[in-house]
Amino acid sequence: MKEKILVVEDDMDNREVASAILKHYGYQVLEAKEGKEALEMVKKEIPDLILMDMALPGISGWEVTRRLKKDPCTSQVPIIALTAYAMRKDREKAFKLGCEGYLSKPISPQKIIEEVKRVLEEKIASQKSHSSGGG
Amino acid sequence: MQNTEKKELLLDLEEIARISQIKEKFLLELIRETEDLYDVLALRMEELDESMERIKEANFLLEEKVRERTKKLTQANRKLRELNKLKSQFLANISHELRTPLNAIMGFTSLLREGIYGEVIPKQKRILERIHTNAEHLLRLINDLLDLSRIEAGKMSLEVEEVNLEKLVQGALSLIEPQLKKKKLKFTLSIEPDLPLMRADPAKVKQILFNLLENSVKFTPEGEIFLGVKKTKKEGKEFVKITVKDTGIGIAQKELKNIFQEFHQVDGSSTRRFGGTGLGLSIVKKLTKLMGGNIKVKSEIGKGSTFKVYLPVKVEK
Repeated sequence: MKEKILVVEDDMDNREVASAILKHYGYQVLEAKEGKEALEMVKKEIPDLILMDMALPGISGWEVTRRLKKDPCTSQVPIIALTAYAMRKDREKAFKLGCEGYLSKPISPQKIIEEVKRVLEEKIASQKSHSSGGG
Repeated sequence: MQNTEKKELLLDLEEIARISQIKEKFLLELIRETEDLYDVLALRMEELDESMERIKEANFLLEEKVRERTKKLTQANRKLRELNKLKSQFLANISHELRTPLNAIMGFTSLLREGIYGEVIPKQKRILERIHTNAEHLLRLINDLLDLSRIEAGKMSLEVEEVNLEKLVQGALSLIEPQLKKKKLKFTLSIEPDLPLMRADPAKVKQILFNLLENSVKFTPEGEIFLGVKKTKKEGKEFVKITVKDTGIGIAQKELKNIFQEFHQVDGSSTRRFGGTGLGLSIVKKLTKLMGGNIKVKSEIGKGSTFKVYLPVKVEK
């Protein structure tokens, strides 16, 4: 089975679009519809990657990302930030917060899969260099 | 004393008495007249005082009125600013609300088209592509609206950096190429080889290039499109001059001043005939102004149009 990806998105339909694409390409998908739920889920089960809508009601995606990146238990989980509108400022803000990837809506199957693959490959590469450097 | 002497003396005395009588009369007259004058003067003074008082009062009322009007104007101004802010906020919100379902529509359409929910026959695939194209168009309109409202609200900030103009031109061209090919239009590009290094907002320069090209392609049923980029000087300042020329339907002289207005397309039916939102040129003009540049247009019905955008080589934030 392929990697486990947590999709955090408040809109049911947009959540299903992302999940359906990921499932179609063989990934395991977990879903959260708000920031609080996402934080609780990550605490229970650490996913291999998080696809995070930044405009969540309540605790925003920005805040969830900030908390996950601050916590040593979850800081290694790569996050792909998802915003509603392609704005360079959002992209910069996301990378500054420590996000490993960025996507703007509308997401197409091709766009999402390319970015997920890229971020996961980078994660594996950095883990390898980290373990070889450490041992 | 001689009699004659006495007589003369008497005469003199009489004369003196007569003169002093006249003098007294004259003095009395003078006093009376002075008194009269004084009365008149006092009256006038009083009147003047009254006038002054009235003027003061009028002045005060006027000042009061001015103060009141100023206050009202300030209030109205503040209210307008607030309303404008609300409008931008509303547009931003509504854009977000509109985009969410639209993103889902586009997402599901892509999923269906790619066969993720099962096999689709070619005819269905074509229809799904058309749904997607239309949704994309709608999304573009929403994004343009949001851009315009942000520019108007003064919320569109410039992100100035060093710009590789040639790369930007290529980027804009790759976006417009499908439309050029679809209409079989000839395209000529002329970029001056040693362009100065530009400092500007790359995304906005690219948008200007793309919107101008898209506008020309849209209104050119056949023939060619020319894009030229060169440096030029105006009033001692260096500018980059972008020229987009087409052999399209052209614009009548009396319509030229309106083409940069939002939602304006020369012929009401042209939106149906040529598509588009009527926001493209308006955004070009606003972005150009935002970067300290200006835009010129020349056109002739049936022959085509030429748009020239001048952007400062060093855009200031």
